[in-house]
Amino acid sequence: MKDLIIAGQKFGSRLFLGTGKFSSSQIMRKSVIVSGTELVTVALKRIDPGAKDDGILSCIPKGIRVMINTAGARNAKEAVRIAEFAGSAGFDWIKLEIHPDQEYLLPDPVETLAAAELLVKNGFKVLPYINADPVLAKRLEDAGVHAVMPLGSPIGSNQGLKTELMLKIIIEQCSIPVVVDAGIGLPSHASAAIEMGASAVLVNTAIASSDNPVLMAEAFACAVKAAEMAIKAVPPLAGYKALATSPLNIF
Amino acid sequence: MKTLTDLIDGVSDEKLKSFYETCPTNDVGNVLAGNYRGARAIPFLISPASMNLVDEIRRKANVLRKMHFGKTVKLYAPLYISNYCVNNCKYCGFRAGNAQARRRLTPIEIEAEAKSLKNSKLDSVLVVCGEDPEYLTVDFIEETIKILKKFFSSISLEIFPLDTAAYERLVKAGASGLLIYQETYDRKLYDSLHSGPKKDFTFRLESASRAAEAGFHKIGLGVLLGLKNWIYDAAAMAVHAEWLGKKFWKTAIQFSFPRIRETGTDFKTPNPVGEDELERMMLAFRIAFPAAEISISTRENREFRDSVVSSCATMMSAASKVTPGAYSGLSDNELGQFEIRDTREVSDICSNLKNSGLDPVMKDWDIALNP
Repeated sequence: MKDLIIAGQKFGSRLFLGTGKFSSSQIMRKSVIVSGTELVTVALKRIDPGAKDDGILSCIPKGIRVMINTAGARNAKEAVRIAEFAGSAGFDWIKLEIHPDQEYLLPDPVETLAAAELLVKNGFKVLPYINADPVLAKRLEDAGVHAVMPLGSPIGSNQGLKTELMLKIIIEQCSIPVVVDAGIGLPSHASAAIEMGASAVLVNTAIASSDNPVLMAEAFACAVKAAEMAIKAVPPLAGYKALATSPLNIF
Repeated sequence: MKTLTDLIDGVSDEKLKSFYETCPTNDVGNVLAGNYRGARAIPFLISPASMNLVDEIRRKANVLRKMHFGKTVKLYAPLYISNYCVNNCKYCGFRAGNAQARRRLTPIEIEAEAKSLKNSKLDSVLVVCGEDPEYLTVDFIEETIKILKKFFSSISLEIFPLDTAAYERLVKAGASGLLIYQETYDRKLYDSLHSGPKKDFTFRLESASRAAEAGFHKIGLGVLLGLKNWIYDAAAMAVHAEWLGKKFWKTAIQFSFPRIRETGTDFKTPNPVGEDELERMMLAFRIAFPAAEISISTRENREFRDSVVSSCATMMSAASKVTPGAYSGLSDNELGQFEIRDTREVSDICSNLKNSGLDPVMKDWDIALNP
């Protein structure tokens, strides 16, 4: 299994966390620590990025990469403005999320591509949240984004990898990391994503909205680790048909 | 496609009555199973049959609340800038015919109010005013927004209906939300309660559409509970919300459920709404419109507010004063628009929320999101 490297930074954990929806910043902090994550996303609208004592930022342990997300943006213009605000406070990793749809918060592909092109040009590390659309993923890769983050199912729905087929195509076709974001409701969903070949998963609601977020964060950490170990161990294939044990893999 | 007016006028007491004569409990269960939501789910969720399923309804609402909003509650405060009013709404303490001290704050006074509010750590403000073209112009509201922008991330407005161009100016000035309560969706009753420019039912009804068109991010709908039977107004408001959501799909919708309170008028509330009924209505909207914010004001007492923020509401006003100038001590709070039941300070509300496992959120907006 390849090391997870995004925009030149190597990550030891394939579990990323969102910081919203927690009952307190302290519980969020404990969950982040227990999860072993090295990257969290924070909504700009929830913080004062310039303030040293910001209630959320100050609770994120040192050394963890903070990626600012553009939640609330309905179009490329708003998202770019959020990124610029973040950038001027020293945050240049952007989780680009543009969801004008107010019901399911589904991402707008047209606006996302436009914003991504501009932000990449302006030197940001851009990780766009997208529907599980393989062509869009390639278009974004061409635009120079640093990873793509397709959804497993709508944000917060905890429904797991309903977009499995398209996720597999994205994973097969993309040369940049693929982070499955949104819809992961159970540790087993996270395992399945990693086993499928995703580079990482991003989880928020499943942890924050559970009755015991710290325990759930640990459960997710174990699940991601387990899937990673399984891949390293090379699982035997399912089914009855015999297959070559040493497939030709010279290219 | 039916117009909004057609849809609203299609809601009738007779239809609801015959619907309720036939609605069995298992139809409510069908809604709870998630088979459908939106406006058609509301009549089931507030039906007499639903009363046998109150616990299930509360549980479902709570699950959806957590799914969409986590364990957070957004706090805000109203800021009354003027109580001059040319309308004569029979139920309102600010009605033109009421002899009471009137005040329109000056820009300097607005700044003083903003500073006092900001001291309590609030970061979201709702500008409220009466309708009086002589005292309160769009220019003045625009100026107010520009002052408040220096203090708050989020500015919403609860003001009289305007045309699209005026709304556009206010969006450009930095307002992100607009609340416009229809009071009641019963056209005839509405007509009998109002005089002055507010008498125009349709212009008010279509305000939300104009505001969405003008670019407001959030539109707040509400009815004044106690005027019409609440079942009717809940059904009609749901129809309105669904229509808006389909047509203006980029605009967020929020709901408020204010009950009529003592106002210093001699108005007799025709259809008082009990606390149980209020809760049932709020739970129903949480289930039928799971992504919409639900706000609960200080008109209600603390016990009720604390209970509904954990089951279905997502926003609450805090330490509200409903008289222009009351935060900075310019005027006392006695002659407010309505009587306040929950008088806790912001810090008390925050610690109460924390104790019940909820995170009070001050900032959930950024000026970067405004044009």
